[in-house]
Amino acid sequence: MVKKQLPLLLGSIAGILVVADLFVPQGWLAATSDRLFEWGQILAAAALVLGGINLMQVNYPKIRRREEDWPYKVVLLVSAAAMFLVGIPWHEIGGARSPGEVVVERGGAAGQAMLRIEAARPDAVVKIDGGAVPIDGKMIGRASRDGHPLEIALAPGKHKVQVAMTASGYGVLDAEFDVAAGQVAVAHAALPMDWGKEGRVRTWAYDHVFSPCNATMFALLAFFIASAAFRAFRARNTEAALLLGAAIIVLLGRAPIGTLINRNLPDITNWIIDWPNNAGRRAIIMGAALGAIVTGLRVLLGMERQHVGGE
Amino acid sequence: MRGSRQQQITEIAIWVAGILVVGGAVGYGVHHLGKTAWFNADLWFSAVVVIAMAAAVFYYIRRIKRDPETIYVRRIPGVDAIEEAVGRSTEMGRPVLYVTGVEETQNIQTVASLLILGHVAEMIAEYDTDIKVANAYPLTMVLAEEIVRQGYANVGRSDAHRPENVMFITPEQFAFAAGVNGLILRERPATNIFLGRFFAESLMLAETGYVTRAIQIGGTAEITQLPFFVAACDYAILGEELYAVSAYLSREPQLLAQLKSTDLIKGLVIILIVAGALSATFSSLFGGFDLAAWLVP
Repeated sequence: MVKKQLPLLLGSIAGILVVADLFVPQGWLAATSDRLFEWGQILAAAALVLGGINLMQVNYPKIRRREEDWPYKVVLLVSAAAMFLVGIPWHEIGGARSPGEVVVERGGAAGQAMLRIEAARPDAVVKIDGGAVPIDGKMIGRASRDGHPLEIALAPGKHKVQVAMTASGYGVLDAEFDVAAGQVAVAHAALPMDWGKEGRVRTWAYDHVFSPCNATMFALLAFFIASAAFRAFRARNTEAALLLGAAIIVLLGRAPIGTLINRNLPDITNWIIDWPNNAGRRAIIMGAALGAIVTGLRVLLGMERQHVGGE
Repeated sequence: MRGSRQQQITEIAIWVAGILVVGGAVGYGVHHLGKTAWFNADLWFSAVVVIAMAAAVFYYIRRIKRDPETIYVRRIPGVDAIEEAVGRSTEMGRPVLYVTGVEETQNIQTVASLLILGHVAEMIAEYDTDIKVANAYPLTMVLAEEIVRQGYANVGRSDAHRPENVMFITPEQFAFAAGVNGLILRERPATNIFLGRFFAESLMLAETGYVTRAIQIGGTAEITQLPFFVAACDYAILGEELYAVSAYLSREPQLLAQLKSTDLIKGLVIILIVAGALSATFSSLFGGFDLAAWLVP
């Protein structure tokens, strides 16, 4: 009894408070609602651990039993473990590392102020005063040219220098300094590699492994659409024939050749999309919105009990 | 015929008129009294709709309990096909694949899908076949696992439940599509049920299922994906039908009342659309009161 009634009661109270927050502009209600959402996020985070365990439970036995396509499951688990490991911000353990510093020393040409960049990574890029001081006529220049550190003459006074890698996942030296005539400001840019969510390894894996795979899957959609359209647009009955006719008109009306066939085709296409199509869409949206409200109500009011095991 | 048709129409008309009068009076009062600390007057019409729906649900629950024969629910072929498809899976000795969509549990379509999953799990347990549930989010997976477990328990088959059949795939959309496609091609389910919120991956899943010659039932309230399910699935559950499935399968008066109340409010919406169109037309021609602007400030 308690196993079913208590979750229903708690769910109803939480749901009614969140819905009430929409209509009742009271601070305590908004705070309660925010707190409930925070709890929801904590639950979701806890569920992530269970998701990881589930991944192991589902895939490891198949590897052990050498079931069909088991090597793919090895790839899956190894990739998941690798992404988990590189996603940890290791560089923050034992304190954050400095991306470098600017030290002002005596030296350089008499009566002139200088800036020298000594970057740990030669392919780093430099921006001075937000690009106001050009480097070889450009806003951004390389920290090293022909193996030598970049040196640039500056007007005496306060300046700002940014040294960064073009690729993400490295520390950025962003410092202000005050240099006088006869002095040289040396920017020691360590630019340490970061780990974690925004770290170099994770962003590299995401950009160079995951994104291309993702794009490949998305690209396949064109072929899936062609295959599904071929089956759907068969004039088997009156409705299918109407669908086919409308599809051909819209297809031609949206393509440049449509205007060549008949200059009214784009207007007919727009009419089909704006009127009959829009009317149908709105009817479905309205029905779905009402259905969603009632589904929410019946869960909130405890009428629907399927999620706690039914009656 | 179920009950007196005339009496039903009269009752509905009285309720429609009552909701319009009470809703209008509340709306008018709140709108003209301005914002109070206890009510956001800008949302008065939304509040009236929610209250009207709740009132309608309670009214129909009472009526259905009094006279269960008065309710007529039209057949939804996609839902009727679920049992048939589960039976086919049993005969073929192949599992049923159930996908809960690619949204989190906060999404109402995911909630609707999970509610339906309970009924499907009971059916699966009764037929003694296997179910594979693919989830895009860990929290959905946890809920789905509990729902499937309860479904098996409800028909006294707790021993047949295998927790590893409820899987967390990944929240990444196309990685999820790739994972479920792999599952379809390896496990060759005889039935694929896609219910919940889907995006571009809907067609990838349904087309892969078509290749394996599975019976496919696709349902979503996501308007851009409906054509894909219609084109690629054997049965499509369209828009609001997704929210009606759980009630349809349970046949419980409380849940069936939901269907009738939705119909009642749809009637009100139709009246408001016609009145709003007339009001907007007259307002633009002669000036004066505009119903739409009044309802939604």
